[in-house]
Amino acid sequence: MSGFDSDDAVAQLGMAVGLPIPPEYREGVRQNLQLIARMAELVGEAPLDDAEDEPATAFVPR
Amino acid sequence: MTTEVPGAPATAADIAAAVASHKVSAAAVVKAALGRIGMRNPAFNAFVTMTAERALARAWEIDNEIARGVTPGPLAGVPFAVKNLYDVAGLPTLAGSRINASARPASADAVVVRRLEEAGAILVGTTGMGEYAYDFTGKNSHYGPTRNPHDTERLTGGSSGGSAAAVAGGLVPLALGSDTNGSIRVPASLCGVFGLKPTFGRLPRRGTFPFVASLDHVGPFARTARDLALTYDAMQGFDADDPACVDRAVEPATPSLNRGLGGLRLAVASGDFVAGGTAESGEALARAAAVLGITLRVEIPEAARARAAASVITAAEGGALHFERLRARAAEFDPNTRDRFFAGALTPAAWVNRAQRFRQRYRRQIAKLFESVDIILAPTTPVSAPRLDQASVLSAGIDVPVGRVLGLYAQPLSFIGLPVASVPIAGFDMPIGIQVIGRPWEEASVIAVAAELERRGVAAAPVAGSGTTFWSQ
Repeated sequence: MSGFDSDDAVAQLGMAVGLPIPPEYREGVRQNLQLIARMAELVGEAPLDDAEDEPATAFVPR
Repeated sequence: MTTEVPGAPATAADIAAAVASHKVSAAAVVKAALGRIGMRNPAFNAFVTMTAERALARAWEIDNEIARGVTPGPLAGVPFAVKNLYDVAGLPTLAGSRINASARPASADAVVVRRLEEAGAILVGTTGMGEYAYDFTGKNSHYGPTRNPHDTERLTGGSSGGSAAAVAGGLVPLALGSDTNGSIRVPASLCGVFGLKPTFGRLPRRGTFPFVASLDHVGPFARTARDLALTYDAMQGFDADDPACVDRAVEPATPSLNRGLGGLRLAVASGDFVAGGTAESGEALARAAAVLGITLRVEIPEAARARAAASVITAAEGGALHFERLRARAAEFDPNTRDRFFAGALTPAAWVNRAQRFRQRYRRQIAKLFESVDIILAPTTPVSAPRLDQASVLSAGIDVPVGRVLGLYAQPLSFIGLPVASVPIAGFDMPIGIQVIGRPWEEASVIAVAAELERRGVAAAPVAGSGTTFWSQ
């Protein structure tokens, strides 16, 4: 599912969002991104209803 | 209640009764607690910062008030500790980090700290935790691991490890932690104490250093169900400055402590939800079910997906929170958290949004389950405390890193904000707990069941090293 298969991909993604990843951390970051990607894939397999299943984040004006 | 209060690790209820009835002064209780901490803390590494001067000043105030005839609060003279992500006026809020040590000191106490002190409790110090709460182990490369008082070569669990250890070791009768994915319940299980994660939105978090705003809860540790209820009740009440705090009436749990099980439909979690545990976690659950006469089994569905969704939200919100610190001070993070925060900061928004939508769906699924039951029992952790040097645990035949396995049963429940107490089950070489899970806002029923387990002798939280062991209960 994800393209986080190399340290370069992690480095480029970091640069793109303004968060440079020092070389010595890239392998660890890549492994963790792969793990997050696998979890997101599992979540993505759940059927969701466009109307009923709004995000569970709520803002209450006070 | 005996005259041993100053030296013995009495319960909060006993201390408050003794102080209120002039049997012992609050100052004597605090001095005794400071003495115990001085003696025993080096073995447990539970406390990071002491607030001795402030504690003694507050104790003298309480003693003076009592001498003037003022009726003291329900926690009069009770020493307590807080995980060091709670603001304490005059101290930097470390949240287990080295980075925050250079932050400006907090200008005021966290709301729930203030409420406990208004009830008469006395803050004696702050406790160690996994860096920025992204942890299930209690390890910390900056301050050293918190150590399990029942075996100091074993983990406390985390991230509220210091608070759990402070209570388990008899240093204080009460402590506060926080729970995003299990960080109160996991150390409560491993250290053999009661822990409560209230309903999401029940207790105000203002004045605590955040981790994942969508999932963060605050809550107490104690050695008895009564102490848990007293502490929880003293902290209740709406706070408009916590965006997640829900405007509800205070619903005290203490009056329900002796209600028993009357009218409650109880069930035990079964099937996939409880897979991956060791024999001891299954045995702990079976003992609790047997003593309460529970025969109904229910399957809590989709636990793996709920864990996954909670993990995605956690990574993304945690990473976003620390974005600037990662950019400017990455080398100062604990290596145990740094790469995970970096990865979280790079998580695509669509994944997070999907996880939040699944949370809504999962809430409905579990609400349906609770139409036919009121309380569900489940294990808290799949194992008792692993060794400090242990890298993995065998779970369902697979070696799983310790940090990933400890939250197995806790995470799906905090994901949808259910109230859960972790209750220590007697009869094991090392402590292990079970979760008592209720419907949203039904903490009183959850604590009542915890109290019933205690009354029937299957639950207990003896002080480590007190000569009262888990196996002899």
